[in-house]
Amino acid sequence: MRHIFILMLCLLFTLAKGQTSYHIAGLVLDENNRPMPGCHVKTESGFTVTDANGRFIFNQIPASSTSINVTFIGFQPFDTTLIVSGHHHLRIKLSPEDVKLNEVAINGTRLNTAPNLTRQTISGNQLSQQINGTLVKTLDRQAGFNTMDIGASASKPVIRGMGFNRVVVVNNGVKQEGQQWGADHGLEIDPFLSERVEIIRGAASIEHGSDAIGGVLEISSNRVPPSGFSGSWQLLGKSVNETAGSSLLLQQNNGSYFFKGRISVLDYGDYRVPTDNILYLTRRVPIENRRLKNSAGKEQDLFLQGGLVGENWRSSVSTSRVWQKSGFFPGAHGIPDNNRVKDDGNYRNIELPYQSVEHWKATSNTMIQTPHSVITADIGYQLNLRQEWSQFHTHFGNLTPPAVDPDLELEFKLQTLSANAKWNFRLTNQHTLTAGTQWQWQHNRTGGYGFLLPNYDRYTTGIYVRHDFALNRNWHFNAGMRYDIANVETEAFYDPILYNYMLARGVNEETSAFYAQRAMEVSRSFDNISWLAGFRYHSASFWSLSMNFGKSFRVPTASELSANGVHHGSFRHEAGNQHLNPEQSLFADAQLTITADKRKLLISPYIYLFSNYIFLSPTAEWSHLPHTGQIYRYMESKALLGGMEISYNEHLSSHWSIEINGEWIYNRQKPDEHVAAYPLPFSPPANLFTEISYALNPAKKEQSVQLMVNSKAVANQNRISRNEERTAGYILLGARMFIPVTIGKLPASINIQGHNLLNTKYYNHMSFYRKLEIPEPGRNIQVMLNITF
Amino acid sequence: MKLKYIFLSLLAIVKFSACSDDDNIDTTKPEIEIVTPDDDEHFHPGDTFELRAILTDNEELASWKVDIHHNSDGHTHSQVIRLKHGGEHSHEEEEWHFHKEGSIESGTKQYVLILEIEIPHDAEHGDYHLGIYVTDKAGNENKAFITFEVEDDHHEHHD
Repeated sequence: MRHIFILMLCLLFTLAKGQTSYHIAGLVLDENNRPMPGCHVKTESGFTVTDANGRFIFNQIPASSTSINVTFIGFQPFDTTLIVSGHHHLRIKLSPEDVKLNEVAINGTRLNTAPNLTRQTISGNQLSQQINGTLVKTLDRQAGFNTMDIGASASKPVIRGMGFNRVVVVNNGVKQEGQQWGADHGLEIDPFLSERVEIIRGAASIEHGSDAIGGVLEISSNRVPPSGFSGSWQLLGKSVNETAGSSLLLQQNNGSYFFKGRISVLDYGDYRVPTDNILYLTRRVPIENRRLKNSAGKEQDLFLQGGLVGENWRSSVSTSRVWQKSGFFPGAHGIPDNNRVKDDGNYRNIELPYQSVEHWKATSNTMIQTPHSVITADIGYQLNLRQEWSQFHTHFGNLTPPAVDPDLELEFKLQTLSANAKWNFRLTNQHTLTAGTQWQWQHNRTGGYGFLLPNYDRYTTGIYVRHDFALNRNWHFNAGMRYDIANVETEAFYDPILYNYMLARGVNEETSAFYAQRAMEVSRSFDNISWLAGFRYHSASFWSLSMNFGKSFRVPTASELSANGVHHGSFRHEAGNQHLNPEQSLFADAQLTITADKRKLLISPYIYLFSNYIFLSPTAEWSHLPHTGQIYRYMESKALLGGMEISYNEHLSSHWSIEINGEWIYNRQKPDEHVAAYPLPFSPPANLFTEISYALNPAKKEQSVQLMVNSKAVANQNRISRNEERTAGYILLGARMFIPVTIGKLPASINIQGHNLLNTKYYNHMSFYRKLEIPEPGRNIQVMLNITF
Repeated sequence: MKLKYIFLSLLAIVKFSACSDDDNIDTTKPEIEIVTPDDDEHFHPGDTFELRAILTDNEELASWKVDIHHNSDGHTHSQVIRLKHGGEHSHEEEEWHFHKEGSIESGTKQYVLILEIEIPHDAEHGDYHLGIYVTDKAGNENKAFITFEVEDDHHEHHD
């Protein structure tokens, strides 16, 4: 590790020392001091294009005079002549020819900060047009991206068939916490807020460290607003659960400073499911009026941001609060009982059991830009406060209800401090060096009469370097390395009530003591080296190919290390394993891009080889705890995971276009003397999304009325791990209509969407409700009005 | 046009490989058929009943577990109800819990589980859940539940 670092530095120094003439480095900015990637820069001695951060550099300029010409579509060209008598560092500011065109152009050349990764950017515009329940659900149409859903209002991201702690969500530069808890709750992000979302498919361990195995979801709402006062107002209505939602954004930019504030409110009722009953633990549980009782909820989100924009820097401070309260289907808690699922005549009430989730976040993001360097520093504090409320009950007859909050079953209070810094240095047009560090501290405290997660503290620190090398116009190489240290300390939890209960039932002392130890004291330190090497080849004609090889990892979670007891969501006795090692995986992926006039085809195959995939494996031991069957233990197993994503776009004519996104995943444990080649749990089945769009007036581009018809076809999932259910395939039909209008004098749009138009009864193989045989929501028609001012 | 063919052939490859079968893994759960008692049957403290269940597996059964517990530890009884119970009924009534497990001789595909179960004289009356859990050799588990009621001796027996 250290040797390679030194080698890299030596290489850079020799390159730097080799100069006998001078270099000219420049930074191209727009009128708002935003860097402009993709500008053409010409001198007498050569030609180049600005990089993702708006930078260019010319080496070997002889001491004389040279002209510089910078151009970008929609902007007035910049021309100057320099007398070269030393190194030059330039800041070049371009002025737009037409303000409207500028916006379009900037969107058109989206920054591509890690060109080798399989990255996909979705703009705020697209997000608000495709909005579907939650932010994560909105992205479901993308290839390689799936969702784990919990009813109509919560989802978790799954990238390349990996979810939970194998995916990282980054929000405004700081890793979002909350993924580590069960499948029964989603991501705490305002569905209206995001200005830009990027999906990185594939491991991104160098910059994101632990957990970035399957991919990264990067969400940002850090854009500097347009000059002056502006804002938008959204109004959303959905039929499936009678959602009423609204969001107001107000922003102000005075050139050197800006403010942004958003408030969002959502309120929804019990959602409709296309079934009259479900089968839960061999019992038929009725779904009265085809509405899932107590699935109603509400959400209130607030976001405030203030920022300063200097000549060479930008800094902002953001705070947000996401608050959600949503009911759990009472038929899914405990032993089936039909009394609990009787219609109570109110579809909007939230009764016990329910969850309440609060997520507070404060982040500070700073970026300094010079012709050579981009330095970013992000600091964040998060508080996840998650509570599950359920009428006091006990699985051990002798437990008495607590005096305060007797119905608070579980409470987690997780505090996280994060700090990241990154320095990207462009030495020459060929060589760019990035170095960074990430630090995180977590402190988890629990409450409630139930017990699920132990108290724990966790520290992680990582440092990394990456070197990007452009050999010529066709070949680009990159390589990076990262070193992480992590420390996890969990508190023991001994349950004397359970001990006495077991003894009273005639269980011997040793066994009773084993069960009463609900969490072990574990203190573990881990370290890990991860690496990445890749290349990209741009052919002169119509195709390009990129490939990556590397090693990624994740640190075991507190429950994987120390849990022992019934997981109340899954009703399984889950036992941790304090000897687990960091999960490690070697991976390789590739992306072939073929662009032929109006068509674009992307093919991305990938493969992972896990040396120790951590998962819950069923054992042959019976648990003595009530309501449980066999014990599930966290185990490590060699595993193989591979798959392929395909996307295809074509403009069939000026009016018609088609988009197809397909995905196929294969995985299995590597068999040995203990285990057969079982598939891994929670594997998404092969699926294909197709959308045909019609633009009424193509000349108006994004301002034209548009009609879309889409379908999602999902294959059977018969490759299941033990104690999973096979899930039948299905085809869903959907449609969208986008109508730009003006209200008063304000530009606005009406966006009508239909999901599951045929009211198909289907199951999402990865959803929390799958094993309860609760189908996914039925037909949904939604209308969104968006007014901008 | 070429692109379309590439796309179609890729789809064909995906389809083909998706259908390839795995080498002898068993993910089929064992099956449970509870013969006696019937669901919602009524008993009295001191009664003995026969639990009879037919367990079958496609490959090989491994073990079983029977768990009977009072419904009070389900999610229906609130604190208030429990206190009322405690107040109204004398302390000699005990919440009855039954737990028994066993393993099944290897190679067995079908097993008839027969248990004579005696309800204690001091068993607290009310609804009880009876659950049967079965695993096969590969670790697949299945479970089945019935409910029965234990009522007071002086109660009318309503069948």
